[in-house]
Amino acid sequence: MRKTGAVRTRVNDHSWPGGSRPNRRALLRAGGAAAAAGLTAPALAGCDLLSPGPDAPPPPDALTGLLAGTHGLVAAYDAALAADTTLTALLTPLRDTHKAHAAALDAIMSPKPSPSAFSLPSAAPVGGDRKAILASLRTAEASAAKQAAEACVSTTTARAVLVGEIAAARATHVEVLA
Amino acid sequence: MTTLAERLQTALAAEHSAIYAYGRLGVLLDNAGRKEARAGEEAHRTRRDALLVRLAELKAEAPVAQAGYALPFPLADRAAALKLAAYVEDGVAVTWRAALADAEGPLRREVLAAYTDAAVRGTRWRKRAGVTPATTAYPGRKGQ
Repeated sequence: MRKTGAVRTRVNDHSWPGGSRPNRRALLRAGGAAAAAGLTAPALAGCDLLSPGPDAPPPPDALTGLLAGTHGLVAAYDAALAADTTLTALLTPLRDTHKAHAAALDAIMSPKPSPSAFSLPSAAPVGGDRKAILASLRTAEASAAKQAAEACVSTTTARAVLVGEIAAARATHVEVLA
Repeated sequence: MTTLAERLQTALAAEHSAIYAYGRLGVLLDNAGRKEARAGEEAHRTRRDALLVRLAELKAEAPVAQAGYALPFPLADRAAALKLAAYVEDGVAVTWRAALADAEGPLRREVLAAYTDAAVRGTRWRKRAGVTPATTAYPGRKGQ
């Protein structure tokens, strides 16, 4: 039984007079009325506001920049370690800390960053003496500590502790490189 | 569930104990160490005062300093003094770290600064004591 006053249109009319059933293209042209939704679900699914279609990848995680900076620090330490083997005992724990941070960030990010996204070209050989190498790393750590502190202040409650730990750890690195 | 006020109360109790510890350990250090200890004590007094203000704003009770605190090990020489200084800074870092998630915006920035400062001072004391490595991957995280 139809409600009084309901407008019977070609699209919502399910009584299709024999031989005149419209094809799918005609239905879509008619404006994608609700009555047609069931028939055209596969074609319309991409329009769902809550699930971006294949042409609209989700935006990168807000911590992507922090993760990129972390990989940059690992590369800087790798280059320094290759340049001066007398720095191994001092720098290895610091480099390993950044590696641990990268893994911890990777584990909580969504969407997952692509493993190749941060593959840096092999770091340029580090020039200069031991003092210059340490000064360069100290500058990088100080800047990275600031970056992480800002990320900590602006991140979500759930992420504040990890990002804060990363900021604090970087600040302690500045101290040991002094 | 622990509230922000409770986190800050725990941080204040840790600041009180740090002030006490610095008052005890400074005399066992050399001149440079004493100077560092005075700076550390002053920093903790500043944090304590800021916490008193913040807790008053939250209308939360502020724990008072004890007349004395049990030391975790005998304080007999320079090595023990350096170890105690690192120990109290690590303890302070634990309490501030725990408050990070409960604070937002400018307060989180304050909490992070207090946490970072304690972690850096702890590192500095370990470095002075010749402890290697002087850092941990996650300062103030228990089990580190």
